[in-house]
Amino acid sequence: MRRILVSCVVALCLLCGLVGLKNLVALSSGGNAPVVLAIGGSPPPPIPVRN
Amino acid sequence: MVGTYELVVEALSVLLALATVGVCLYRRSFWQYLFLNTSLLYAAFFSIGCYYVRTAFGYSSPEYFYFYYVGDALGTIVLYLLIASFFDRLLRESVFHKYVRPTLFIFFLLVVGVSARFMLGNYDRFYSRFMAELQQNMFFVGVLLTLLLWISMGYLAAESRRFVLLVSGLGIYFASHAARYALQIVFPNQALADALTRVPPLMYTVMVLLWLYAFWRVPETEAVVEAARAAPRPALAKANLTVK
Repeated sequence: MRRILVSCVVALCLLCGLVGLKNLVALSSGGNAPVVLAIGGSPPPPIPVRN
Repeated sequence: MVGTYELVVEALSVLLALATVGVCLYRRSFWQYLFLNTSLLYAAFFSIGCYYVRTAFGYSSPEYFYFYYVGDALGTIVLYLLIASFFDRLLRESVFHKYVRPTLFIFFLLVVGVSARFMLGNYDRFYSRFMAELQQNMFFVGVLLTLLLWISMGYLAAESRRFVLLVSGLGIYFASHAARYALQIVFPNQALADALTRVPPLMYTVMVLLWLYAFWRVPETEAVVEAARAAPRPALAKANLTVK
């Protein structure tokens, strides 16, 4: 039980860090910048522009 | 537009990934690094699939767009498992070891839950938006956990040089993304943004090259301290001179 409780608290702390980091990037970039990861060496496709 | 540079990087990434898996099999450490090999195999087949979809439907086609981003989102989950396995390995001797797996499992569930929560109300495009949101969140999770892994590694003084090299590869990969974002924010220029889009696939290839070196040239038992002994820090050298 203690193990689960400690794990939950640490996981929640990590989640706070994640949300904080994401908000910081969104604030700095002035919008919701798309994240282009590259699992592999393939070139990412162009982001379609909305009219 | 896909040019020679993109094709060379793509081919290199596949070849290096398969070579790393081959070296792991040859050294009989495939099962020991199961998640690393799984992520490499996934990335290699994903790149081959990308090439196939791109040539069949075109670079700007929606088929390639969805194939790439859905495949990438699944790839980030595989990367998450890889980072979790590194944590598990690093904290094996620690008192915190029993907390690692449940913590990372609960954290993953929370990230999926948060990604789904943001999407509520967009049922018409739930799947595609959810995958994009999950991919973004998993990317930030990767950055956060790699940083924590690096700090823990320094604090706990990891002994295996190979392990340090493997984590360093991950660090290079995620740091390239962070640097790319920082440059895009500081210099909001479309030409620069287009040029920077070419960097992450190259950094992925560099990471795989580093992993290949780690498995090929660095034995599992080689300690980090040997390198430190070979090139002592000035402060230590001075201390030794003073003692003599």
